[in-house]
Amino acid sequence: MARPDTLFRSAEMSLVQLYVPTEIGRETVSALGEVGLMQFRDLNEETSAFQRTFTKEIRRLDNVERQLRFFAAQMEKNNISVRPVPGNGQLAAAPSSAEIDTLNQRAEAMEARIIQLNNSYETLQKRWVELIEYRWVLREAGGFFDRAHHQADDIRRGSTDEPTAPLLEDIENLPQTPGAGQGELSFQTMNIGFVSGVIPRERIAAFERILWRTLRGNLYMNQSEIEEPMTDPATGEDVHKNVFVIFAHGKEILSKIRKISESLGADLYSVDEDANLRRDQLLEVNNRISDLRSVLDNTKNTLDAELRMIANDLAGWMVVIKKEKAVYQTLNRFNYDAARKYLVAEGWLPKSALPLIQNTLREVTDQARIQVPSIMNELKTSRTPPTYIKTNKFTEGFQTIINAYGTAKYQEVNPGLATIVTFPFLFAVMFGDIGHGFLMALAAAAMIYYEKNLIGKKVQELFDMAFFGRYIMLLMGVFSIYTGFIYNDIFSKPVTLFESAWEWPEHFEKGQPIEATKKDGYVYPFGIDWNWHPAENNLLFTNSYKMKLSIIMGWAHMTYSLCLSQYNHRFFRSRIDTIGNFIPGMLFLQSIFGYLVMCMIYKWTVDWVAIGKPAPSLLNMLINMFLSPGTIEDQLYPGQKPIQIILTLIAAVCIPWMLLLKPLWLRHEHNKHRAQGYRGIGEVSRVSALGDDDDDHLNSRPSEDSDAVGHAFLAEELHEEEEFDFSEEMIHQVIHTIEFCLNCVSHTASYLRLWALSLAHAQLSAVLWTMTIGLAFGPTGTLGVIMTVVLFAMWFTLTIAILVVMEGTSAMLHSLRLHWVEAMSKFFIGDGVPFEPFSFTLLLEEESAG
Amino acid sequence: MVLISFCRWSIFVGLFIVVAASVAAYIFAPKGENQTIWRSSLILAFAACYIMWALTLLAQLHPLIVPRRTDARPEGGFSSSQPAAAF
Repeated sequence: MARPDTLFRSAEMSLVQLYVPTEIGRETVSALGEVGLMQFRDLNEETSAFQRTFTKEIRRLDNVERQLRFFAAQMEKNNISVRPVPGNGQLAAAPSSAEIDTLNQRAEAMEARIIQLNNSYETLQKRWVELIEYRWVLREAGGFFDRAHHQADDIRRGSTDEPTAPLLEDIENLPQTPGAGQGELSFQTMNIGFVSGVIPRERIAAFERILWRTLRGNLYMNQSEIEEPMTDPATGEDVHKNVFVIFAHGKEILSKIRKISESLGADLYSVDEDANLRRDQLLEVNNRISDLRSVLDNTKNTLDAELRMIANDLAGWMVVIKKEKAVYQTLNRFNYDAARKYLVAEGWLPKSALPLIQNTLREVTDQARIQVPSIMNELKTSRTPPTYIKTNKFTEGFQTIINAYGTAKYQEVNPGLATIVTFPFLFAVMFGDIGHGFLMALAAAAMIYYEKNLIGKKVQELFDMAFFGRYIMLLMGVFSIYTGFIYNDIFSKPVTLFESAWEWPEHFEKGQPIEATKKDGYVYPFGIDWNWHPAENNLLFTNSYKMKLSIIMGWAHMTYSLCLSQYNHRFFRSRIDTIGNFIPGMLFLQSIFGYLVMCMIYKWTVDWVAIGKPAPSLLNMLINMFLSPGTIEDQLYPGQKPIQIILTLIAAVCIPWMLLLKPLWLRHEHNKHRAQGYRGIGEVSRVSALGDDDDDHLNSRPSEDSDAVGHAFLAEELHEEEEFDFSEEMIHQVIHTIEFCLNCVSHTASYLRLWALSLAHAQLSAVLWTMTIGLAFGPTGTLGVIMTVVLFAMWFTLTIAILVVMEGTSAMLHSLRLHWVEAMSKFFIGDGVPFEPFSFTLLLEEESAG
Repeated sequence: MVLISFCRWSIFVGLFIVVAASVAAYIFAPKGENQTIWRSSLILAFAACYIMWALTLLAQLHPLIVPRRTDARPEGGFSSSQPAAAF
């Protein structure tokens, strides 16, 4: 352990092999899952999922998991909330396998019990609904029968005599004659039968239509709505239903009616036409309903009690089962040794975690009181280890910005470290305003203050994103306050912290244009002088200042990033990259843009007005430097001509240098190696007459049966050297050179977005001020008060919504781009594989997130 | 007028202060696994802030244009949108 793990590089990893006694395999993996710092390699890649050792156990756990999910679904149905596990499942370390077995049995028994309870409850519920419906039919039927008696004659006549005559005349039109002689006759004697039942209300129209068509009107139908909705026991939904009684003449017709009603989902109930019998029926039904009610309540209570008991432990069990399943899935990646006494595992872990893992292994062995210890040994390998960058809650957000672009190559310079400052700072250059920065910092500080309560909670997508980046936001806010002081902007107004460097003339006429004069030898010490703010030519000044500022910032950022590439070259001991890439690249960048920056600063230091010379245009100077070397329009400094010619030559030399040196040197090295007789493994020598034998010998793997089976997979570790291909190397370098040179220009120009966005932000906030709250300062009295309140509210809302949230997002995206494209292209390789340790914490987090 | 005499060398005085602060940040960064983060972030932040401040100062050293306005009122100072000019 030479270096401690820092954010600067990904942690040093080692590949280890574990020999774990088969008896404690489960316990060991479980303990390692709690530590969560080891990524196990799959040693059975060629084995399909079904052929692996622990498939049976996983199946069993899947079943338990399904049962637990079934309980959860039942609880949701019965409105019982699951008690959450405190601390998101950080409970009870690995449970013993006996515990798992008990859990399995309990789940089994409880599932059976709940299913049984559910079934009986559903049956009872169905009976209950039926009885209720029956009661309604009985109640409503009485009225129908009374009315039907008056119509009985019509029904008979209509159906027998004239098919064309209307079957029924409007009931209301007929005079009501209760107790009239004919009404007293029973239907039976009149050969009229009836069908009574209940049907869902939405079907009633279709029902009527079908009946009418099939029976050609030979029926008399009565119906009424049931006010209270019926609950469907199967789905638990409320259904509105109607009671109907259909009178008709003849047996066939009646059976037809029955069939139609049943096919349309009606429930038929038999009702007696005699009023006295009906009363008895009603009484009996009422009794049965009250009996059933008490049984139903009992069943429901038992079910609820049962579920509530489960609800207390369900979340915990869920966690236990998930962990257990993960353990077996990991065990499936392991191999057995020849005697099947040991499980053999292979995996990556950070070097710094080696003692911790060793301790964990020892503890497990001690607890199990097993004489044979687990063995861990480090393997030497040429495989590329995974990239593991340890983050904390502060650095996590910044590292995520980098990881969103790509995973860093193993042990290369991690851009995340510099991003902590450069990302919020470049943001602040675009967002510079004390007020807006303060609001942002305040919001971030509030989120950090309440982070314990907010963490792991899903509120709303935008908020969750802001919460995840709360530390980024805090720094963005703080740096925006700083750049706000530099730009001297607080909600677009200036701050008069220091004495101004400008003096306005004492006497002048109203409306007469006046110009300020500069105090001799005094410069406004911090930020932009506040006297620029109300000036008409304010924009002219800030424009030129911010443009130059953004170029210099960009140059500094790119130079810094390019220097990081040198750290990579040195770390990977690639001298040729230093000489063939870094040095010419740096010279090229500095001889053009470094020179431009120097000129800008020099130009600022010269008092051009005092010496009476025209201030030279630097842009023209730079263009002329390349288009017509040697011509100088306005001299910036003496000796400018030779210096510019030399710089142009340096830049010109750098291009072929960068283009040719590295590939030619690599070819030279390669040829030298070949001359010494080395050769890549894949290459076949065609010179030898025994070429085939040679080939076989080279490609055959070390015999697998001669060694322990556990070592078989080590054969893969054979060093695979890439074949050298000059043309490929050349093409790669040509692309790199062209890209680098063009990017120097385009990336510098790209940093001008700092200028554009900061100007836009300042102008937008000034416009917002004048168009809202600025208007309120004119009027006085009541109007003035109302206007101030209303316009302030408007101004504040728009400031938050547009200037802080919208402009902030846009500035953030631009800063993101400057990092991903302009800075990271200078040094970031990013072809790494992320480290995915077997960790219960990560596993459960993923579960709750997904 | 300490500020005026201070001004000519202020860029270098500022640089000195920032370098001193950076050295202090390097030395006094809290030990532990976050030491690198403290050191790098503080020094980078100081450097970035210094660049920004120094450039702003340089840009106002010998300005090529002067502030100009027409909305000023002769007596009683200036219009409302402007801070008091008299010192």
